[in-house]
Amino acid sequence: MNLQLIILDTKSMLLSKRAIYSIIFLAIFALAFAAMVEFSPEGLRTALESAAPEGSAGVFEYIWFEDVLKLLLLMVVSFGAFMISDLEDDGTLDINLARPESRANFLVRRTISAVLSFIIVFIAGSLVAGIIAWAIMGDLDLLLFIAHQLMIVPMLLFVLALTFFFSVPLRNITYTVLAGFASSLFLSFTYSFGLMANPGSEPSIFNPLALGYRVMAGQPLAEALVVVLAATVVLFLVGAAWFVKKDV
Amino acid sequence: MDSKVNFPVIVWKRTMNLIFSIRGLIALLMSIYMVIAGAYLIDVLMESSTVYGELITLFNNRPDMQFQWFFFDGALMKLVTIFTAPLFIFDAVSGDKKGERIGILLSRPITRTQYMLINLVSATLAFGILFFGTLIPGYFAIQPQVPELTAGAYLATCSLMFLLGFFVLCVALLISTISKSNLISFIIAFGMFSFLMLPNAVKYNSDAFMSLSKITPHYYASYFTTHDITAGYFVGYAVIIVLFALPFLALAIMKFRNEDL
Repeated sequence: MNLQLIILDTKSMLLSKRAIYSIIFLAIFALAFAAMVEFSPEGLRTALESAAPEGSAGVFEYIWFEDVLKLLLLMVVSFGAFMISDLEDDGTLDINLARPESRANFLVRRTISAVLSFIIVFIAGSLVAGIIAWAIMGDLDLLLFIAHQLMIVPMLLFVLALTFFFSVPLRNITYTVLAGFASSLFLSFTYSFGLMANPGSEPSIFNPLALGYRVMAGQPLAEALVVVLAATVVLFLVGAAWFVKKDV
Repeated sequence: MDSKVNFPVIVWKRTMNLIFSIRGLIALLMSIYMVIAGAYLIDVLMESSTVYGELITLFNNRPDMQFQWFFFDGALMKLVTIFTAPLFIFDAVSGDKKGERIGILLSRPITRTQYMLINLVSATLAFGILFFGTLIPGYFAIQPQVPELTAGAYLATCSLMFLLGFFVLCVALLISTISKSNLISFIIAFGMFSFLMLPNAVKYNSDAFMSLSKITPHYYASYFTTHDITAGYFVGYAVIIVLFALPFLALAIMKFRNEDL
C-alpha cells in the first residue's frame, strides 16, 4: 500500500471544490435553519419543541436531522463518487489502473482516501454548523449535537458505499451521483413518512438511513448499527469484487 | 433561426432522450413517490397536534385550501420541482464541454444561441411531460380523499409550479454554462434551490421575511395555495415567474456566446 498516494489523494480531496462547498453549505444551512427556528411564531415553536425527541440536543437538532441532512446527503454522495467515477470523468481511470498495482489495492487506497477526507470535512462542517446554531439559539446542547453527528458517521458511510456500488456499473459521474442521491433520499423519506404516520414509533432497523433518527431520539442502536455496518461492508465488497472482474 | 437547423425535430429527439434515460427514470420515480405519499399520508399529516398540522394552521387555516398548501407548498411537490427540474439540464453545457463534444456540436450549422435554446426547450419539455404526467393522474388519486379539492385550483397551482421549474431550469443552465464540472454544477444547483426555498418557508415568521419572500419566485408559484384564484392574478403571477427566469437565461446565453471554447 502506497501511503504517499493515500496522503496525496486525501489532500487533493480536502482542497477540492466539493469539500469547500460542503462546509459552506453546512454553515449556510445551519445559519438559515437556526434563524428560522429562533424566530418562529410561538405556536410553531411549541409544536417543534414537542416534536423534538427527549434525547435530542434541542429543536435545532430535530430540524437538522429530519430536514437538513436529507439535502446534505448530496455532499456524502459526491465523496462516494471520488473512488471510481471521478477518474472515469477525467478519462484517467485506465491510466491509473495501468500502474503496477492490483485493482484491489487501488480500491482500498481510494476508499481510505475518500473515507478519511469525508470524515475530516464532515467533522469540520459539523463543528462550524453547531457553533453557528449554538450562537444563534443558545439552548442547543453543542457537545451532544457534535456527539450525535459523530454517531451518524456509519450511516453516512453506508451512503458512501451505496454510491461506490452504483459507480461500478454506471461509471459515469452524473449517473452515479443521481443514483446515489436519489436512492438515499428514497430511504430517508420512507422512514420519515413512516414516523409521521406513527409518531413516537421506532423506525425499521432495516432502513440504514433511519439510524440518524435513532441516534437523535436515544432509541436502541445496537441492532440497527449492526445492520448498517453489515450493509456497508456488503456493498463495498460486492462493488469491489465486481470492479476487480470488470473489463474497464 | 438558421434554415438548416430542424429545431422541432432536434428538440423532440433530445426530449425523448432525456425522458428515456436514468435521470428520467429517477425523476419519474421521485414524482410518483411524492404523489403517493401526498395521497396516503394526508389525513395523518394534517392532524392538528403534529408539526405539519401546526404549520398548516399557521400558514392557512381555511379547510378548502389546506391540502393545496400542504401538497404544493408544504414540501412535497416543491421538493420534486427543485430536485427533478435541474436533473434535465445541470450537465447540458458542462457535460458537452467535459466530453469535448462541444466543438463537434458547434461545427454543425447551429448558432450558440440555438444550442442553448435547444437545451432549455428540450429540458423544459421533458420536465413538463413528467411533471404533468404524474400530477394529473395524481389529482384523480387524491381528489376522492380530499373532496374540497377542485380541478381548477389544483391545475392552476400545478401550472405555476411548472413555471417555477422553468425558473429552476434557467438558473441551472447558467450554472452549467459557468461550471466546468457536472458534479459541481449539480451540487451548486441543488444547494442553491434548497436555500432559495427558505424565504418563502419562513414568510409568516416576521414582516421582514414576508417582504424577502416576495423577491423569490416561490412566493408567486405558491400564492394560490393560500388565496382564492382570480384570473388576473394568475396570469400576472405567471408572467412574474417567467420574468424572474429570463435574466438568468439571457446571462447564460451571453456567457456562452462570449466564451472561448
